[in-house]
Amino acid sequence: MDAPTATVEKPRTRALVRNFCIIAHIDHGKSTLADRLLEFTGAVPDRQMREQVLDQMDLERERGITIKASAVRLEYTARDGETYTLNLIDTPGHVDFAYEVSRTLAACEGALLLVDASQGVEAQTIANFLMALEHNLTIIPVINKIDLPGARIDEVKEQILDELGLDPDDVVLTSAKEGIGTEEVLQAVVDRVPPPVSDEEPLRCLIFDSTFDPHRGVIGFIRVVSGSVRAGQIVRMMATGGSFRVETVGIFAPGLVPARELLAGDVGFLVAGVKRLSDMRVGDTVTDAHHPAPEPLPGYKVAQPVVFCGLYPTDNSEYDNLRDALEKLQLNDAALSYEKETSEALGFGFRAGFLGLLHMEIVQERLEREYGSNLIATAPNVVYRVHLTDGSAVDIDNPSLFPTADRIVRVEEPYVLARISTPEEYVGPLMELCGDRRGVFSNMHYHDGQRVTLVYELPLAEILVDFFDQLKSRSRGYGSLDYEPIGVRPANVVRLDIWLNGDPVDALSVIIHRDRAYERARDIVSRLKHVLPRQQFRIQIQGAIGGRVIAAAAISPYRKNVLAKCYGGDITRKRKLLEKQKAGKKRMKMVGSVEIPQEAFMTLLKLDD
Amino acid sequence: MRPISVYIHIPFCRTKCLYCDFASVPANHDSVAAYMRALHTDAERQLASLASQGRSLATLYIGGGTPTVVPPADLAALLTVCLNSMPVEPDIEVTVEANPGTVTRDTLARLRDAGANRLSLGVQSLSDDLLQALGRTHTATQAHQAITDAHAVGFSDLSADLIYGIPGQSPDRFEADLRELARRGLPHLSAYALTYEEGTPLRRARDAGRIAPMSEEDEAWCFARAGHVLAEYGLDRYEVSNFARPGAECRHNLTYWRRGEYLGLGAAAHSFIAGRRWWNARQHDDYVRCVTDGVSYQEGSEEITPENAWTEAIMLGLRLREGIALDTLEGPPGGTAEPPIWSKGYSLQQRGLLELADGRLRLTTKGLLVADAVTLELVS
Repeated sequence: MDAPTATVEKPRTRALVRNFCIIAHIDHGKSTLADRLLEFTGAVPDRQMREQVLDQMDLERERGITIKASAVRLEYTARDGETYTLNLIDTPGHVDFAYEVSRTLAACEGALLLVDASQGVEAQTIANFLMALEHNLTIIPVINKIDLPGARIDEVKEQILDELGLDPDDVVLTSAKEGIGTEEVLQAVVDRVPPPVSDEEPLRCLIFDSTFDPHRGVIGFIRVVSGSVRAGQIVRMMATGGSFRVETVGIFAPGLVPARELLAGDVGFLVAGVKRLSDMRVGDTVTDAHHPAPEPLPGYKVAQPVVFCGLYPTDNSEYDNLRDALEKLQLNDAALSYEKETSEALGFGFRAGFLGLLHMEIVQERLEREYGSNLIATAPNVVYRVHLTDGSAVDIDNPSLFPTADRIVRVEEPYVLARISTPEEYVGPLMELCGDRRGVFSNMHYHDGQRVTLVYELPLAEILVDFFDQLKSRSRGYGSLDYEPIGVRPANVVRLDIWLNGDPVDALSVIIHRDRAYERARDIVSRLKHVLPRQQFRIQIQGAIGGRVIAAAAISPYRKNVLAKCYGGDITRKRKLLEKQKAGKKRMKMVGSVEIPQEAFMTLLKLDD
Repeated sequence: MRPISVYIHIPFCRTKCLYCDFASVPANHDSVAAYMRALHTDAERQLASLASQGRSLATLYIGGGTPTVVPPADLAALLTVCLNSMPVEPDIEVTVEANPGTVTRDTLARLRDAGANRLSLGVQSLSDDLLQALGRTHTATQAHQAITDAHAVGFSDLSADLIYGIPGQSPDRFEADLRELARRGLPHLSAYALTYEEGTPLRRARDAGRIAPMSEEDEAWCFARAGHVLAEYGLDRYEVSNFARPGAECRHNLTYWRRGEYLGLGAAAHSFIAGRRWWNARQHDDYVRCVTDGVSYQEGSEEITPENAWTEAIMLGLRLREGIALDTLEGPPGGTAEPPIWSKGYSLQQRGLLELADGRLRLTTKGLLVADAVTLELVS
């Protein structure tokens, strides 16, 4: 954090403030446009300019997506000669983080809706657009990447009219990569986005994101909706109930720059000695502890994990390290939940909950990369609500704990409303895919005679199973997906157990649809046959439901495993080969006498076509 | 005097075999001549330097490639310069690799006169169709003739290489080759399983399905059979792929497996002295240029850490029938008093793969067949 002596010129009036965000489908150029806006307004000196300044984590840069929201304050002198303060809030770019996106939108008055000139309107564009409308934001359509040879500006303008109902005359054309249209975007924000409404009392700040700093504790990213906040004030989190003394407030200049106070309409940060992210949750309302607001701001909810998996150290002695790593990670990621779990096969580990598949992958990668944990992650699953014969109901987030059929009255599983956007020619294959995945057709919209939006109700569990890859391959990469939860529905599912050499391996159990149980069991068993390494003994693989074997395969032992030659004096080559194999072995888990590589868990979720 | 081994690499062949991924190129008169001049200069310098450090020559090995594509006079001169540039041990072993198609009785006599006392013949197979399948240019008749010639000029310490697992080869055919060679009184044989190395024509043929490799069962059978058959003739397996009458083991190769010190001369040769491994420029003309210019031809090197040394000791020692002295097995350096290797070793013993005797740990016959898996288990 910068020295608290830094002073900041405050806008003389709320009329000179604009709060806005950029919403877009993934890869449509959001971060690059944000970089250009920062450059143009001089918010970041050139020498500090790195590509995609707002995406701070290494992972974000590598994956080209924003995971955490962040904000920056821009000073822009408009054509009327006035210098405006523009607060740009970056939004996460993935469906897993829809709730975070909605809180960001709630902190703004306007949104730049960015559309790629060659890709056009995508599923996520529509989802974001609808969300922005819900929050009554002023929407400025921007067509980006107009310099690319494949740009179809007129067609995309028509799409914007047909599919979003926005006036094509309002479209700003940009190439963020080439720096075209940057000033026009800034001027449009000043001209069209309304200034914040400023109510004097009482204090209400929306926490739209937060991050953990090892020295200062939780840093809340806030939008002051009414009232004002300053250091020394005692504030209360209205949902979680904690009271804290404000240590610092400030703005994103970029970087955290302390300010004397934040007023209604301001976007900034707040540090109040909060030690845990769970005490300062995204979406909560900060109010004055002595003069609290009667009602919190609307829209708060606790992000519910929807995807679960087991996380185990490959080496049991690493359990404490993994626990420490999860603890540290959770400081920075309130949406990550985990609890201790024991598996007969894998030993001591954790059952972790995530917002979605991407969130899960990110956490796994960060655990390995930032904390050096060698992990085994079991196949992801959803939560099943199981109604038992004794009249009670349990939520099952671990397949190996799924009750036996004789104890079950009925089961429910989570469903989502999936919106798939695709060029017309792929509608057939995609409808087939949704049908195969137990989808219930809900709706279909044709736009401009080329692009179609399919709406299906799908079990979330089916989306975990290779769905996105299938969607991409069946639409040659042109299809896109967005989905939102719509509650639970009856589920006709059973637990498939996998036995290796006659012993059940609990961590390999999966919940599958009853009607396809035989087919899936055969498929899984044959896939395991190909990913489990051969041993000096025969490995029998069986798939069983309720103790009855319904599929089996065997891996024959190797007869010979010795390299005949030793490369003469080149010992280095042979030793390096051995060290490589040794490293590969570290990533396997011994279950009894069988080695199980990470791949085996992922293969459970693949489907043969 | 501390003994040391010297290896000299001849990177030339008449043609390249279909399975070969060693450093070798087709021989060309001028390149060979330039290379041999450089080797001569280099050997004189390096061996004199070893002498000045109080080293004596225990074994000398000229391998390739095909050393015998070099004019016999040049090879003889190389042997002479080596044997005269540093003190030699009284029981020195001097091996030259030879291909049956490239030697005459006269060649062998000259090598013998120049000091070679051991010959390693690349016989590979005694079936002409299988030799062709490997891309070898000699015939079975030539192989037999080479053995006759070697005996005639006094090479009693004679070894032959055989390959099993050749596409089209039956295990019986391989066994017949073993017997035929053993009956000729060879005190040493090497039997290697054919490997399909990346980038070789044979690998491409296999990957494209043009040839059918021998089944794993048959390969395992050949491996075991070699041990039984050769034992009948008094040749014991002393390493995964090597068999000898007691006392006729290749001492040069034992140096590698026992982690003894050696200097490698010539293109692509490796050296191991004073805990450091290094290797020379792979291209013969680079080597020649460096020697001529008097600059280093070292292409890469590594300091062997205690951890590396431990891994190597297991990896190499387990290949030998004599096994590893238990004191080298006390666990990786810096490890705890109760090294986990003991529990692993115990489990391997229970499974009949390892045996413990006379303070040494060694693979059983069954263990030898899966030596790589056992090694991996022990070092992991």
